[in-house]
Amino acid sequence: MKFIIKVSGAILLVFSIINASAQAKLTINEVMVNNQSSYVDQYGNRSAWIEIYNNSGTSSNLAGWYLSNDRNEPKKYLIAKGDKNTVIGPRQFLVFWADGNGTRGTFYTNFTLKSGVENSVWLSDANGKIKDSLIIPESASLPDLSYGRKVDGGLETGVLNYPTPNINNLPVNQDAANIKFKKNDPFGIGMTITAVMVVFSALILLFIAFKLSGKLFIRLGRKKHKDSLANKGETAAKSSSSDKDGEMSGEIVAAIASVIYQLQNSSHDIENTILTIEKRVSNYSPWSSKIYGLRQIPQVRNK
Amino acid sequence: METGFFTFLADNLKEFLSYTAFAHITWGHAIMMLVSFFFLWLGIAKKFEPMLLVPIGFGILVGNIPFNEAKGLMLGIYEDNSVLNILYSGVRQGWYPPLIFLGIGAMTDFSALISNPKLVLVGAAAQMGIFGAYIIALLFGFEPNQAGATAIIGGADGPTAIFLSSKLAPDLMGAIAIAAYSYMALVPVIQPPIMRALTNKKERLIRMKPPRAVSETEKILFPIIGLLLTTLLVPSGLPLLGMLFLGNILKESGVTRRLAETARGPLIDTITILLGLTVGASTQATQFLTPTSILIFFLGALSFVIATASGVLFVKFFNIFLKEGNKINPLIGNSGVSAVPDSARISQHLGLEYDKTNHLLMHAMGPNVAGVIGSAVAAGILLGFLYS
Repeated sequence: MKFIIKVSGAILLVFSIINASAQAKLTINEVMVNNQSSYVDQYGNRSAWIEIYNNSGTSSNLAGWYLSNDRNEPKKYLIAKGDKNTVIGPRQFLVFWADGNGTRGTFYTNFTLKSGVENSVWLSDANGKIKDSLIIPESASLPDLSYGRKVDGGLETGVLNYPTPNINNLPVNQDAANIKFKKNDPFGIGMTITAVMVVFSALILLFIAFKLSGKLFIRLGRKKHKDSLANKGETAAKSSSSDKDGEMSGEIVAAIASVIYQLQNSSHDIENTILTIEKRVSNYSPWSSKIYGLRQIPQVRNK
Repeated sequence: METGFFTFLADNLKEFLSYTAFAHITWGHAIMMLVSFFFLWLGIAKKFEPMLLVPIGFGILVGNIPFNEAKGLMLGIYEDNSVLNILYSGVRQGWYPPLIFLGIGAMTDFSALISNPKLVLVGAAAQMGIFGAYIIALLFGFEPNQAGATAIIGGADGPTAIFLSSKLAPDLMGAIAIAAYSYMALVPVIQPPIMRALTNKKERLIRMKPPRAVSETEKILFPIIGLLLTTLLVPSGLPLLGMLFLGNILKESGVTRRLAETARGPLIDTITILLGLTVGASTQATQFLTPTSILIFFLGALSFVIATASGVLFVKFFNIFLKEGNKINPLIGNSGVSAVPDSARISQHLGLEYDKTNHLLMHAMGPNVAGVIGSAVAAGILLGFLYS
């Protein structure tokens, strides 16, 4: 029992460690506090902006979510419902303008970010539960500096080399996996060792699981068999030796083998029987009968 | 007036001729047509996997009827929104293979595996073919993703090969699919010489312990435990393994007989027809006949050879550690490649060749179905590592 508790504990610990590294689905990816000569909004103005990133393989809708610059007031700006543009595609971005004018449209918040001080941005779901946040240090509020995650959706934050609204913070190479493997494993030995280990691990797990469950079921089967014999008043000694270990008896195996043998020797695609279709001679056929082509003469009924 | 009318007629005729296949036929189309006839001959006359080779062979013919591609008539399989292109979406986006796996799950009896779980390891060993071919493909200058997609042919599993190549190297999918199915059909030709070469007479005569009877509960638990153990480790294999085990629980639960029958009957038949036709048609000469395709065929054959040899040699190695009476006949080692049930049938035939009363079919089905799981796991690993 103690062993099971220890193993369960270890598994839970491993899962929790693995889980801890999991990233939030929607993240505040990049923020520019002091926009002097960078990104321009639809009205031709430059103001602070906040970029949200969908760090998943499915689309997400921000409608009904909240943005704020104050932890104590997470529901400061409600992202409008009913605007189809609030849907962020997989691994895509959405930029909000923190210009303090919430009436210009869905993507213009009712709060601003101030230069010369530390700022914070909070993203909360429709229930007001904080999903992500980003603290922007005072030093990052210099003109045209953007602060955010070094890699999209990643944990490491800092001042970015250059502002990247609506695009990846670090340029993504579509062939990243190829480049990595070509560089580190040009002959495929590493991949082979890893993959063979994983395939064997998966199938060894299956082997262990079914070896153990097999033993359990054999034991249960034997017990059931003994019980049934006891109920019938028969002695266990009478039980056939062929039932040991839950194996099939030799007679059954012989019967199966002989059936397979017979089947293989007897089954063939071309039958020996000859099927002959003989013409059936019949003088009468309803199709050729004139009776059916003629109107019937009404018969006089005699009362 | 009359001259103008005849000119009009002549122009019309000329234009009509420019639309016929004769105006566009190339040597490539002719070669592919010959390939199609070869496949049809193999399927119909030689009865090598007719269920696969007849639709594929005919599909090659359909895909290689030349037409005026420049006019954008929306006929070809590679033209957006053409009928063939819509049918091809199941291959391109990889949703035919999981449906095939559903059917395979609903028709497979895993009892042989459950009763003798150590045979699972033979299925794992045969996956060496995949990784051997991966190394060789890299040496031939393939990119890692292309090498992974090509190497999966060694798993001898057509649906898995299509699924993986659609994700890793869509441009090579036609060649990979054709190679995978061709070699699956050629299992009776490829495997026996390797099996004979790697075993001696004494080994071929090994009689294996008869399997024990498996209870219904064990059969029901198998898909649940199997899914959890494999996909918790390799979630990227979920589309294939999930459907495989779903099909199996439909079969074994005993309460969803109609669903199981649909999955292993009309559904898998429908998907097989569509898959065969579109995979065949995807070999349009203008897109398909390249040196890379030929290289893929070569690598595919090589991976099959490595897989078969690995399975047989692994059994021989495994036997060193097994007690007398518990030994495994190495003739079932080839069954680790997941061409179900053809490779198991080869074990049976070869076994009978040397001992007319030594039936290996039941034993060979264990590694055979383990091979299906193993190749899906291997595909999951390659997808996890190489998909960017």
